Amino acid sequence: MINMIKGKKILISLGGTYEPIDSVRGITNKSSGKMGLALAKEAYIRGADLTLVVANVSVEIPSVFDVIRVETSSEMNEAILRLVPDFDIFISAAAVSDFEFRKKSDKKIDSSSSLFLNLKPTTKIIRQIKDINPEIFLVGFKAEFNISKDEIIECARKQIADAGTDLVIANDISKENCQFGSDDNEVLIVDDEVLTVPLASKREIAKSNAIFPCH
Amino acid sequence: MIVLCVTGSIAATESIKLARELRRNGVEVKCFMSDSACEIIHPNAMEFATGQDVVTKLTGKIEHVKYSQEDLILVAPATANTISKFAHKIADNPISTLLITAQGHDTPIIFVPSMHDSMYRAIKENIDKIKDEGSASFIKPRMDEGKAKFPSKEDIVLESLRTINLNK
Repeated sequence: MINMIKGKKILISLGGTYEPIDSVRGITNKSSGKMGLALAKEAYIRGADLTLVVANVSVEIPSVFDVIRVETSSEMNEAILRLVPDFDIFISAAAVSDFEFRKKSDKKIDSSSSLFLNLKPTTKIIRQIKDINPEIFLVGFKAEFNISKDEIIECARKQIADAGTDLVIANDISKENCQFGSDDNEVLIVDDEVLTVPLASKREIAKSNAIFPCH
Repeated sequence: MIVLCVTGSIAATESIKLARELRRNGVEVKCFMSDSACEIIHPNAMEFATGQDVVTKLTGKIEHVKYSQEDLILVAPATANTISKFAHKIADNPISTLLITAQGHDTPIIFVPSMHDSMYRAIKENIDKIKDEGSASFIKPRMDEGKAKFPSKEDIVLESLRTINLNK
């Protein structure tokens, strides 16, 4: 498998985006970037030509990596759409906000009265990838909460149908040791088939040959 | 197997943990130490870290030949002296002798320079010469407090494993 990704151009997005409410507050999620970083290290070791788009992470990114820092989902969107035409593989491991604010305050909002936030859905980055580069090998993630294995597989297959994803790494983040930010995970790797990877460190999951495409 | 060459910089103290980290990644490590490295850390520390005898001098076992065709020669830390000798293909100690033997066999070599930044500037020509001839690569130091400091062990491990795979 090592030779499969040697010299291939791989783009990986990781971490959680942050949508500002005002100049000091915002909404984000608990994504740590650990899974994306584990995949990045494995790809780098195997000789891939690697670029990372990094949102908020709780891990240190090795200085040898080529990194583009972003904060919001729209910045993430812009960076990825710009880069996607030049890459062979895109692994979308970032947790991108599904909502952004209709109007962001550039001041600090006064806290003495109640506050209603008006959110609108963000653009789904993953659905645009294959339109821009139909040749790219697209790996998506699907985090669901407390649903059955069959339902998770159905969600993953829906992403494959909607976004043209070639491979989906799906998991149930309600399970113990599988939450956002955990060191370990238990995942299903879904394409035409379903491969169950039992609870293992994110690093071991990244080393699993099922993740890196064999074309 | 990675041949880890430790030369006489205070960052030799980092080589003990570096050897452990490489082994944690499933790599066998053989260590060569220069005389000045032995004045900073004792060879026993590297023997413990690698689980193997440390080469501090060349004997009838022709260690410079025996270990010249391994997966990678990693010089960490690499002093101005060691880099400059390699640039001019001088072989007057076990490590400099191993390095030119390895180069003759096209074995990948990585230097991790660690020295005061004035020394780093002074040997720039030698580093450029090595880069131009493509005989070795460099992991760039972390510039801090006017010193070319030792990069993180993780960066060194990533670059080492990548270099081995790229040369397979």
